[in-house]
Order: sequence, then C-alpha cells, then structure tokens
Amino acid sequence: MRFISFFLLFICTSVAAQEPVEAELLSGKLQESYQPDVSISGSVIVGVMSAGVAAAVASDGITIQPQLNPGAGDICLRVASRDGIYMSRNAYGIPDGGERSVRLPYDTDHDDELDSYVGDENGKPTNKLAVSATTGNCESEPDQYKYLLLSAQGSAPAEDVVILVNSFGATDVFYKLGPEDADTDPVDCTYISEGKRTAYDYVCSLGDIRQQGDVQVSIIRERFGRAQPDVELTILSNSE
Amino acid sequence: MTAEDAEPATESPLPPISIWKVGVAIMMLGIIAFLSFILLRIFSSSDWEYSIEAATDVAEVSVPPDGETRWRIDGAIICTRDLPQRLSGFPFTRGGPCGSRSWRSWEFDEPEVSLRLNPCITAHFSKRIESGYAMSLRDSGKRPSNGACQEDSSADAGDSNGTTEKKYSIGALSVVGVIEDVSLGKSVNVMWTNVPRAGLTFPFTGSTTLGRTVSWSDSILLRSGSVVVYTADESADKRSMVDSASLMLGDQVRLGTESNSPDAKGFIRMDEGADSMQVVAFGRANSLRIERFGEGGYSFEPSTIRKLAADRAVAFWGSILAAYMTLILSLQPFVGGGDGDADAGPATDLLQRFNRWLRRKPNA
Repeated sequence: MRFISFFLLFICTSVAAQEPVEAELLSGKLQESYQPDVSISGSVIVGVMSAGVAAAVASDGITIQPQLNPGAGDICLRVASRDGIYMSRNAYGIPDGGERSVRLPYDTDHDDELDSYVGDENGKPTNKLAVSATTGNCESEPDQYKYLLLSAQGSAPAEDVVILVNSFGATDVFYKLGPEDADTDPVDCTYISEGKRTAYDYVCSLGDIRQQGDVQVSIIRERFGRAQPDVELTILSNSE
Repeated sequence: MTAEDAEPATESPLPPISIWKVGVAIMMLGIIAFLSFILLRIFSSSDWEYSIEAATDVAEVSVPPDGETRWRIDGAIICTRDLPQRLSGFPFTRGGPCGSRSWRSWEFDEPEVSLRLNPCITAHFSKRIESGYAMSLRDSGKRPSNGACQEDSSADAGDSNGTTEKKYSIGALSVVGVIEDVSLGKSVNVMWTNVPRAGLTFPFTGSTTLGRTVSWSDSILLRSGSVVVYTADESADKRSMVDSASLMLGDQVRLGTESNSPDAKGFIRMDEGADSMQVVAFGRANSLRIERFGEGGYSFEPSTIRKLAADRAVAFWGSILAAYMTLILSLQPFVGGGDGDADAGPATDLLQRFNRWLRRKPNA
C-alpha cells in the first residue's frame, strides 16, 4: 500500500512538472486590433518564429521553453497578419518556471479571424501570421533585437524557424548566419508573391536552429543592386 | 361543375377558342418566362470583363507556368549577379548603375535586344530614383504540381565560381546578329537610364499588381487611372459598359493574384520623358481587387441592378414583353368580351376583376 501511494505521488509530481507555468499579461487584457483600415508597421523584422507558432496563437498555446526562460523579466509579444489587418502587441511578465515551460495566455476576441490566417485547407502553413517575442517591455527600447524563439505547446522538438521580413521595396533579401563579419554566404529569402503583403513580403527559412543556442542573423536587403541598411538580430534558442 | 359542363362533347360542341384568351394566356406565360429569365441571369456566372488603364511608378507581373514571354529591351543595361559563360567574352563593368560590385553590367548598342522569360518568373517594374526605369527578374517561387518550372542546371547558368548548384534561370538574352538565346542566371536587373525615343512596350499575361501599399519608406505609387467593367453583347464593338471607377493616387490594384483566378492580359508602356509608366490590362471582373489606403480592399464587380440594367438580352426581351402587354391591354376595350361571350371580357380584364373584388361587400 505504501508503495502504491508513493507511486501515485510520483506520477502526480511528474505530470505537474510538465505543466507549463502561466506568464502574467501585464496589461490585464489582451491588446489587439482587427481593422481593415490598415496601419503600416515600420519594422523590417516582423516575425521570428517556429513554423508551428502561428497555429499556437489561434489555439492559445504559445509557450517559452524552459531553457529560454528569462526568469522574472518582461517580454514583448507581437503578432501581425500579412495583410496588415490584425495586429497585437502585449507585454508579459515571465515567472521563473525552473524546468517547466512558460505559457503566454492569448485570450483573443478574434478566434475565427486568426484561424483563417493559420493554414490552408490541407493544414499547410501559409505564412499569413507573423509572431515575434523580444526581450524587455514593449515600451522600452529594443534590446539589441534579441528575439525569443517561441514554441507551440506540445510541438515537435524539431521545427523549422522562419523570419518574416518587410523588405520596404527591396528586390533581393538575404540572410546570413553568424556574426556580421563571419565568412558565410548569404542565403536567399523567398518573395511572397501571392495575396496581400502589407506587413511583410519575404520569408527567410533558417531550417531547424533550435538546438544551436543563441544564433546571430543578418538580414541583407538590396534594391536593384544597391544595398539597403542591414538588420542584425539575435535569436535566443535552446542552449541544450 | 354544372350538368351542362358534364355532358359529352359529342352532344354539345365546345365553343370556339377565344383568340383574346389565347393572347392573354401568352402574356401571362411571357411574364413568368421573363421573371425566370431574370433570375437565371442573376444567378448565372456571366463573363463580366474589365479593362484598366493606369499611370503608375511601380508594377509587378508574374509569368504563368504555361506561358512564355518575350520583351524587347533596347537601350537597357543588363545586370546579373552570375556570369553566364556565353556572355563572359563581352566586356562588362562592375557596379555602376547596377549597384554593388557583386553585379556585372552589359550594355549593347545593337538595336534589337530581347529577353525571353521562362515561366514562373516575376518581373518587377519600378521608376528609378535617379531617372529612367528598372526591372528586376526573379524566380516567383511558385511550383505548380504539373512539373512546370523545375530547377535546371543549364551550362550558361553557371556562375563565375564554377559552381554546379542547380538554379532556375529567369530566361535568355538575345541580341540580333551578336548572341542568340544566352541563358541568364537566377537574378537579373534591367536598367534604363534613358528610355529610347520610340518607347518600350511589354505585353504580358499573368497575375499583375499595379501600385504599392502606401508607406512612409517609399514614394513610388500608382498615380491615377480608371477601371471599366463591361459585358459582351451584339453591339458594334461587341461590348457594353456596366460600371466604372476612377483610381486614386496610392491605390493598389491586383489583377488575378488570388489562387485559381484567371490571369490578366495587357501591356506596360514606357515613354521617353513620361512621368510614369502606362499600363493597360484586361481580364475577368471577379479577379480584380482594388486596395485603397485606409481600406481593406474590395473586389470590383458591378452590383446586381447594374448588371441587369446593362444586360442587353434582358432589355430586349423586356421591351418585347412590354410592347405585347401594351398591345393586349389597349385592345381589351375593343376586343376583349366583344365577341358575344359574356364571360370573356370580365374574365380577362384583371384590373376590372380586382376592382370589383375590392368593392365587393363582405356578405355578397
């Protein structure tokens, strides 16, 4: 009998350890807008995300893996639809979850609209929704463009990472992994040629970099051969 | 039913058919048929076509998978990031109008320089900040399931480093009398610092976007234009205008860019000294979308009333029916009920019967 009680206690403890801790939404209520009168974003980097995170927005399952847990710091979560109609920007206080992941509550009033952005009829990602999370409060200065790589709750351990870019009229967009002066070849980003592209128009597919620790990325843009200012960012990924 | 009605026809021959009654019956059937015809025209998918004429600083054309496009590019500076082997014998410069030194530029003085574009290529036309125009040619990234637009490794698409990486060539360059069908790499820019005096015309078939979303970072926009929706008919020019709209500065017009929507056909025109490019395009009305700054965009399709008002078939058969009804009703006092048949007149005069019904006492 004592063995059975101990076994049950062990099981309950294990299950509890896997349940994510919930982050605190600092504004109390989710701040989001859905309006056809489009507001224009001024940021080159619109989304830094694992492929499955867009679906997690609609299903309220965005999580931060324990290795990324900034611990009692704030993060800023931004979500934008490619057509520029849906946008949200919310700050979260992140508790120290220890070995547990942290869930970012996303109680949206626009479930149906977000569902329509997530995937096509075959469930294939459509890159219609961009998600990014930067360290620091939304009102503070960006912390050297440090992006947290979010995950979908219960997602597969390996997922491709994409950066969604607003090219601002560039004819070529590339990304380069590693420090700015690293001797690595730039890789083409792909132009999104279908649909409305108000918020972003290029997608850079980085592959699965989630096990590479912090990754530095440079976004290089050219407009008819003339270089536009580069944008450098750091993706905080799993360190294990 | 009376006893007389029940008698066999052999004993009491039927009265002669009243021509008047036949005429009224035809009118009733005509009205029912006409209403059915209107419903059919409302719910049937008609071939509403549009034509658009616009002045714009920026335009984008995607060559469809089953299409091949040829454009004459006289007077152009051709910029490539790769070094096509058959062009390596011709003098080139680095940088200059082509931008950074990673780009090489060629300029041919010969009068007939042309490009053959492969399918699945996106051509992006833009006004240059300095002067003239520029066109970028890139792989659209669309890969249809029928196997079109697969990557190739043609010899001429190799780069200066001699890599054998598979890549999709945007097409081939020809200069009459000099080179023929030289396959270019995957990234080509074409610049015109000065447009030739005769101008340049780029006919196209494919999904097309005119203008760009208004933003603080860019000043090139669609400037003005007009859209006309019309339908085919039997008139001299085989079409009839249904609706029209003006395009405003900053509008973005997308033609056939949604999945499964039919491609647009048209041409882009560059003229020497002109402030912007002229674009003329045609296509199906349901594939046209206009997006205006501050609005979510709308499909430009005429309303049901405008469609019916412009439908020549509805107008024709409606006129025939109206004339027939006028004839029947105007002849009624002289013909209806004047043949000795006591029931014929009142039975056919609906207005009179309705009037009597209104004035009838409740217990009558």
